Amino acid sequence: MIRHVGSMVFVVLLLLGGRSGAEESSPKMRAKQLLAARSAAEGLIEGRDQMGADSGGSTAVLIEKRLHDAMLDDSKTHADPKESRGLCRERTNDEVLQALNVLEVNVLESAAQHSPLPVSREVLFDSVGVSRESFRKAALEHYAERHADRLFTQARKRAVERQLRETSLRVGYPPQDHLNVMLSEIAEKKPAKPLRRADILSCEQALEENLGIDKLVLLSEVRTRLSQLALQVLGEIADQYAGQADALKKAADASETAALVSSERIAARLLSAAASRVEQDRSEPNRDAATTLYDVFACVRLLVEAQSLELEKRFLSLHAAGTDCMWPTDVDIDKTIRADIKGHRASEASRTLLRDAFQAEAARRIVTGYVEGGGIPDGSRDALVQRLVAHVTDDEACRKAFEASIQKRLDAGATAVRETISAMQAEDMLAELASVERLGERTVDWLYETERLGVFKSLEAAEEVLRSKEGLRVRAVLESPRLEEADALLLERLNALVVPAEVAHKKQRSLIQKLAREWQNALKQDVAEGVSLSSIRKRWRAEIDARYTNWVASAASVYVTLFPSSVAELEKVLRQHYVSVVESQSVEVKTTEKAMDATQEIETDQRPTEIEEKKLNVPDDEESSAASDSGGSEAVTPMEEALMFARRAPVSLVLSDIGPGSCELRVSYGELGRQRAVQFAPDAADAAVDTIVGGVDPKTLLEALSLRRPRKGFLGIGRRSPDPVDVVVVVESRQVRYRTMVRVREHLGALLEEVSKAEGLDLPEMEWTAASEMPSE
Amino acid sequence: MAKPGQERAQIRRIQERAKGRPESVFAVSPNDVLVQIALPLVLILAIATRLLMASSQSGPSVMDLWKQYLLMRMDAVSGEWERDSGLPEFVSFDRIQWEGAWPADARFSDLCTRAQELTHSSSLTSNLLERSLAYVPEAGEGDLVLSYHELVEHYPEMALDEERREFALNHLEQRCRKWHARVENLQWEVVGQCVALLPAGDEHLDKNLATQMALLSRELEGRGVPLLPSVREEYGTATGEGQ
Repeated sequence: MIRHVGSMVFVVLLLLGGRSGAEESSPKMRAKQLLAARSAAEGLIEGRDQMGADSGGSTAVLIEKRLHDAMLDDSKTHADPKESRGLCRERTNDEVLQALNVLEVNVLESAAQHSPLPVSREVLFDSVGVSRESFRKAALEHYAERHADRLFTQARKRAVERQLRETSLRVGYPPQDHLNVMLSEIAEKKPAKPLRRADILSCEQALEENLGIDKLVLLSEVRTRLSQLALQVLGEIADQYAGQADALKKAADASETAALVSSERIAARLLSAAASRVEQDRSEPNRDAATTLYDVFACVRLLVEAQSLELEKRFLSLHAAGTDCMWPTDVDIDKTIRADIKGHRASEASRTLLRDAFQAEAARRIVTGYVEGGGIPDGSRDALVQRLVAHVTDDEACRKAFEASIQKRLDAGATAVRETISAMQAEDMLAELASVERLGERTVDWLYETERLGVFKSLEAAEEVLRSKEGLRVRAVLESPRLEEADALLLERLNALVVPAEVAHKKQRSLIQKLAREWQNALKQDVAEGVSLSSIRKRWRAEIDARYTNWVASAASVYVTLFPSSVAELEKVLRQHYVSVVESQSVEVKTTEKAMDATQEIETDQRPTEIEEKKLNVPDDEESSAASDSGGSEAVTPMEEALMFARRAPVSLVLSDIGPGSCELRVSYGELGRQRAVQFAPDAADAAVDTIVGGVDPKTLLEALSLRRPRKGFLGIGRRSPDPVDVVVVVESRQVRYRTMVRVREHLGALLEEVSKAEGLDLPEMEWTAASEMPSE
Repeated sequence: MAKPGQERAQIRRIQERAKGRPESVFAVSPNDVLVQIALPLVLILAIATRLLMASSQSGPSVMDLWKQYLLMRMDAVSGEWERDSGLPEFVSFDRIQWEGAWPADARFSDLCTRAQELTHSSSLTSNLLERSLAYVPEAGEGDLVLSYHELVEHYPEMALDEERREFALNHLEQRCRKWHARVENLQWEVVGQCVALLPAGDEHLDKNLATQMALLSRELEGRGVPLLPSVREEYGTATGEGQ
């Protein structure tokens, strides 16, 4: 029914409204519509631009207030300024859009009032010239760029100030009980050490819990500021603590405190000092009334408790260090050492024994004296002595102080006692040596050959001399227990005998060398003139004797004649020089002929006959020498002598020329009677080295070296004759290059070392003799 | 004898009455009432009303002689004023020439300048009446070649008394009002065109409508297009009422 009535009304209006419909498009109406739309557009743009205006921008004020409220209402979300800025940016955008909506509605309503035709949003934004979305987007960007940060900063600042105003009053000084709990928790970890400022400042969290700040939801700036305030409070508490701790330290350092001896009395003294400091602070006229002054902190009492015990130990150790220990006496020490001379032989071991014997009792005596001097009542004295004696054992510093004090006494006593005892013991041994003015010549030579001629560094080094040589009969004394100081005295006496012997021996050697140098030319002349070796030897010996006698007179030496080893050295030097001179003056043709003869002999691959060996051997004794001297036509050249020497060696290698560009190696294995000869070209150095080294058979070499006679013997018996060289190499050739010889020598040395090591033999000695003129590279 | 359908209807009615359901007492539906009665009635009423309105506006009138002579001379003088103003040339807004967002048409400028006389219509109508009374029709116009004053000399009964003068002034006033309306429409169209063509943020635009109209009016006047006060002061003066 209603629908039909509506239809009727519509038709009637349609018929009656013909005139009014014609007026809708009048120019005035259209113009007024446009005017209203453009005016609204201008109002919209102006309104947008004024939204963030500093002065009277109601939108800006509204947004700032809403941001401010949002920060306070949801401080948890807005705690971090960075996150808050992001949230506020979104919130600002929403607010700006809402403001734009309101502005749109307002300008549209205003336009509708002044326009006979409707002014729609589309018409409005056509007048603005951009779409609604673009206008809103541009408005947001414009606002964000120009005003958002400023509004956030202002809102944040106001929110922080307000929150800080509301919460800062909660930050104050905690009650003493709570503070004691907080500080004691830290102090219990290190009860003997005062708290550092940082330790107290680290209670910030506990303080905030105590003040109830920790559970508040706060903006981070407020949180930081409250933390700073809490730290200021803790800083003041730290200052008060430092004052009390300082009072403790001063009291602990005071000399009268050291005289209190027991920890209980020391603790009472320290607490009294801390309490005095608190009272002194309270009576300070200029102190800040807002600052709470606390009583002695519980952690300070803990510190006193711990420090008093430490001070008890420290004062005890200081007493020990500053007190001269009077026990044990020298008599006690003398008795102890004499009761066990063997155990007390070494001074260090003796110190240990003495310390073990006397330290405990000595410490107890020192402690007892300390307690008696401290005015401790009789009733508690024994218990205190026991506790302090325990400190000596348990406390490192106390123990060291007591040990040092007691050791000082023991060392002083032991030194005197040991001097007395060792003097007595040495007296017996030195009595045996009193009649000995100098060492025998054989003894000196034996020491020289065994490389012991020199200052003895220990009695053990000299003991063999003492036991084995004539004139030094102190065996019985040595076998009796004695102190090491007695040994030192004996060693000193022995060195007084050895040193002049060594000096004399060295002098004899140096005189021989000097004579050899000075008489080199005279020797050449003698050889040239055909003077016999025997005559030369006599002249040399006479000259050495004369020179040495002069030195003995000037140096007041007790060794007036040459040692046998020096006589042998003279003979050796003379022979070396003599051979050298003879070789240099020998005729080359003769050498070549001799070499050819030797080559023929070796090629036979047979052992040298007894006759040949006799021919080749050089007579050692005076008679042979004389015979040789008398037959001047049989003078032996150095090369001949070297060849003869080689034939007697366990292993010998002879390199000789067999023609231009051709050489030969002859290898002889001494007592094995084996020989081998190989030829090589001297110009090809590498091939020559390979040929020469390859010519030596390692197995045969080892076999030949194994047949050597022992080099050393007991007391010189069984020693090798004066031909200690195991491998003799004679380079008779004048074509073999120097480099070839060097490389052959290196290879042979390595081979000998390898063979000797493999079989556990002494390293064989190698002697190398070469012709005087060698071709250079 | 009843038909089977009627019998079934009767039986159904009896059954429904037995069940206690109410029976409709009307024989026609509401739709039938609307279509068959109300709509024709409404149409008849509408047509009658329209006919009455038409008869009241276009009835044949028999005018007096003085009135005929006077109206003829007033029409001639009014037509002369209308031609002189250039209004007939601007039968539509499209005739106005433009340059950018502003009109640049000397004829339209003349029209707007001349139209300022319409602002003071009483003086214009009095002027036109005097000119009409002095107007002498030319021969061939189907009228006496005498001015109305001369006619009155010959026919004293045609003299304009107060009532006749009032009639004449009203007649001229109606003509002036029509001219005013036409010029005003043209000017509104010009204003609308200007506003439509100006870019957003232009210096002649303002959120205050009165200020905006004042700015536009001043600019148009500077360009030789003075607006009628009815247009110019549509929103009041710049410092007066407005948005």
